[in-house]
Amino acid sequence: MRFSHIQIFNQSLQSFSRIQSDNLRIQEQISSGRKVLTPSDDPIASTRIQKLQDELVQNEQFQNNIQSIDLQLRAQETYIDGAEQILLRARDLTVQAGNGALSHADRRAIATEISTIRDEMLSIANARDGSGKYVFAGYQTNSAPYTEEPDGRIEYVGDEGERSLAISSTTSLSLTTKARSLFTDIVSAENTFATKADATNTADPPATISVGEVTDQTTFDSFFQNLPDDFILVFQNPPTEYDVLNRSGGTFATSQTYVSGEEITLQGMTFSITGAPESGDRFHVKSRATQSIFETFDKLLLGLENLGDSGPESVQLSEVLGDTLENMDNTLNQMLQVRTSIGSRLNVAENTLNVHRDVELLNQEILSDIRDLDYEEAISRLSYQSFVLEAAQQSFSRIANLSLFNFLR
Amino acid sequence: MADLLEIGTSGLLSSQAGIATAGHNIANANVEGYSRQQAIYTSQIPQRGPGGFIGSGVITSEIRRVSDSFLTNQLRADTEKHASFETFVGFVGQMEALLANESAGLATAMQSFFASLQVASDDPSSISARQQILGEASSLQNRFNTLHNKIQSQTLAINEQITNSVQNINSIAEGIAELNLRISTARGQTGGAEPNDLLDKRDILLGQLSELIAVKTTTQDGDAINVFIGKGQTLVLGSQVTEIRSVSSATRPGEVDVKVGNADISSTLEGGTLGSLLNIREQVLAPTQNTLGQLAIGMADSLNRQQKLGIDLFDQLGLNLFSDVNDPAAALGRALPSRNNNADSTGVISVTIENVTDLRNEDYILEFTGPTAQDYSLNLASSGQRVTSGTLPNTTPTSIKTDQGFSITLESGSFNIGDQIAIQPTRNGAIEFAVQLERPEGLALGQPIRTGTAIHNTGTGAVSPGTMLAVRSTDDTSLLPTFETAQEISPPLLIRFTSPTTYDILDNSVPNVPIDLVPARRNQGFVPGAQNDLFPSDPFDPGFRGYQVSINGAPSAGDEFNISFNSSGVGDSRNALEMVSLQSENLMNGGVNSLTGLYSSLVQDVATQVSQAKIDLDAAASLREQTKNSLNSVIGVNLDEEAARLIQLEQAYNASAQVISVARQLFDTILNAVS
Repeated sequence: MRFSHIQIFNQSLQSFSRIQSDNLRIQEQISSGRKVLTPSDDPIASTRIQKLQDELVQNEQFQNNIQSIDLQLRAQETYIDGAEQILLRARDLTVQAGNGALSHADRRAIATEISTIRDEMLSIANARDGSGKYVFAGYQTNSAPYTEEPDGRIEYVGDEGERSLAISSTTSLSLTTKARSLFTDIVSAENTFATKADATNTADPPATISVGEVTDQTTFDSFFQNLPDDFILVFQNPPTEYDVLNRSGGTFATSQTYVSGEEITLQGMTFSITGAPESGDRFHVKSRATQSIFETFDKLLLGLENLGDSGPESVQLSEVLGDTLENMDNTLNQMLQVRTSIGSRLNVAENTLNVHRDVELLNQEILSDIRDLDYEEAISRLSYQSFVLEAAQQSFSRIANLSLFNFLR
Repeated sequence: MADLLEIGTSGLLSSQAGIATAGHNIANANVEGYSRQQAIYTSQIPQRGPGGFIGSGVITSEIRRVSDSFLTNQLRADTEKHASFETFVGFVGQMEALLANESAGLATAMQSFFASLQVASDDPSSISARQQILGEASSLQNRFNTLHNKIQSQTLAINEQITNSVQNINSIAEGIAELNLRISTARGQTGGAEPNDLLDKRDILLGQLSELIAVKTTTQDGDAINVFIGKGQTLVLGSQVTEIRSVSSATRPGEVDVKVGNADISSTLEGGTLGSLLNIREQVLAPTQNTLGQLAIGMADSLNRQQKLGIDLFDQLGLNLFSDVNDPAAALGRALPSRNNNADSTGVISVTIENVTDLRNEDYILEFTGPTAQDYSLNLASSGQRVTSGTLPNTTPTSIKTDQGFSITLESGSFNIGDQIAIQPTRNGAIEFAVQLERPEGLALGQPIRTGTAIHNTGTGAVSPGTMLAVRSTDDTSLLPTFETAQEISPPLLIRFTSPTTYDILDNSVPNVPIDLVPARRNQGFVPGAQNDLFPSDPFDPGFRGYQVSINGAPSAGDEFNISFNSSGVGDSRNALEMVSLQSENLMNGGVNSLTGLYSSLVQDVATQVSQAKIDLDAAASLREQTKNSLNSVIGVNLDEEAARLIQLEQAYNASAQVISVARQLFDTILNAVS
């Protein structure tokens, strides 16, 4: 085959530039540590790389979420643990108060300590986290789930909002504990009721309604069994009389005469209203089968402070103490249940975290396989290419010097 | 004896011609496209002498140009392919690098944005977590805008280069036509001798032309080469040139069409730089820009919709996080009436995004086809396939619905038969993507409703937290009655079980004094143990409230549940989680791609094209080199060969001179004999 002068030069130049661009590419690979520099180098590999990277980012997010869940649930556990400890102390005191040898004055001393425990319990229910948010408050994390009313009663004003975080692409886990399930929704020893003045009442100073007690448990139970219903006392114009309405609709009694501080008995429930209500003021009497731990404390305190050593009063006291012990046990039980729920969530979180860690490791390994450069191989390729380039350059200079004109002298 | 002198002279002359040709070859050894030349000798016609014919010397019959028209044509084709792929890899490779770049591309920005929503859903009342979301949103805006601008400037660069290529093609065509003329003149003047260097020049020009565009050639009468481009469009015919023009497009601002006369031949041109540029513009840049727009619109619209279903830290319903995709300016900017429309066409058209799932990355042409000025047809710009057609009513505004995720509204005025309007629903989506929300408190991470269980309940019934469906009416003109009053739901509801299988839904506006709804909803059936939805989910049902709540388990008679406004619900992150879930929801392209999936498929698509083109480029480069080598091995100058020829001719010259000298001696011998 014939060769032309221009061809010899062109070809050599081409092979130089090809080897040099190969060298540059290896150099880029070595300095970035990546096999695939741009997606078009290997579209299939780069799709997998992108997918793996996405998965890793998501995985990391899930791990962060789980750690956050873990932290918050453990904090809640600590608070519940504290609540249990002080409740056990209160239970001991209650048992102690049942000792017949104690005088009324001794019981008042116990009441002082119980009162402190009640306040401690309230501060646990209204616990705040590091950033000042109420731990057990549902959605309204800026306001306490329990408030102390002017008349000393502790009202639940929180909501049942739950916050959850995704722990995997298909599962999310709740990181909240409802205050209600810890302190309020506690099966009571006996069916009971709660009283409350309506928040919209206009009388100033407001008329108050007493905590009240079930004075005829049989009547109340049969009323409760059939259809637990509430009563609403609505003051008429003039406010010397009131109607009693059923919550479910309908009227229970009309035009009852009101005397401040006089006992009112409805279906075995006895309570009293004190003060001067305005017309239109409402008072709620809610029958229910649950009793909050604060109500239990309040009823206990009432008993310890007011019930003397006389025969009927001590019978009543031992009833109060018996109910209180049962209610406290129910509370402890309830707290145990909540702890079980937290524990099982922590378990799920930990298991999922382990899975995520395994997947992360595996993904990183695969990613490294696809994406990362094999340095030994790349460097040996580079030195081979450099060798080829040198050889090409040397042979070129030899060939280019070969010319017949060198001999035409 | 005189013959011997002549024979010697003829030898001298032809050796000179040969030496000159070799010299010419040596001088042009490094000229790309030069074809080596050979002096061809023929012996002269012999004369009758004693005993037979005696030769009468040599004559240079021809200076032959060594060429190979097959290889020359092949090289032209290979050059054209190589230039085409090289242009493609150059432009599209740049874009690929941009899209796949970790710090400029969208993939990481989208991920960080959704990750910031996840972080905030852990602690929704934290201002710094909310600030983080806004920060990530604005870096997302930055990326979208930058990508759009970069693609836009590439489009501008490409259009500029199209104009340049067209000018180059015209000037090369002029050169070829002129050479055609000079070659035929030269042949005429010399009686058929080949003007070798002119032929080389023409081949070089044809080679340059084929870098710009694919050409077909025919030879006319052995002299002129006629050149055709595209689908048989004449560029050079003998010494005549048909100029092509680049004209700014009537329907696409900033873009140019390639025309001959008034006929648009843009779509018929292929190969070479120009063909590749046109192809990149139509097949890569426009669809990429549209896909980015589609993604930006999908992001903005879906997050805005979710944001509007939530409440912010001030208990207000959420406002747009990103600018509204149907902002009037944006809607009007999506319709571009052709410059060539009738002068008295006054129509004003806007394009409204209806549904991001049905939206495509296509452009459309709305054409008033006649027979009346109200008859229209909407076609895909790429394929011409019809999307919809019909007749507009005479009143404005009036809307054309499509199944492509947008609707077209004739806001006012009218068009004439033959008018065209380019409809680009997604083209500017990425540049119009902007963060609108300013205060971090305004992020609606909570939901407006919350549900509660009455403390006195004795059954095991549980109420769901509730799901938001809508806050605005189906035609988006007003708030639903439920959400008409700020910071309230109207009315809050009380669900009271009258038996384990029946319940009433009551208006709980005045707490503890529930009254009947209008119309009343008492004695609703309940299936214990199953999930019982309380409300219709169909927005057209009169009982639709904009949200859904369900109760399951087994409530007892007298049990109550309530649904109220989520006031001060700063710890609620339900809406944030809904926003997070938008990341993986298959919202785009008819439910095929997620938001992040759409972007990765865009990157992959471009990468695959570049990768294919790189392989094609390598193949084309080696093919071109091979052909070039083959051609050079035929037409190129070999210096050793020329050196050898010089030696050979020098010797022949010396010998011929010797012949003359012998003739002179012979002549002298005779003269001496005579004297």
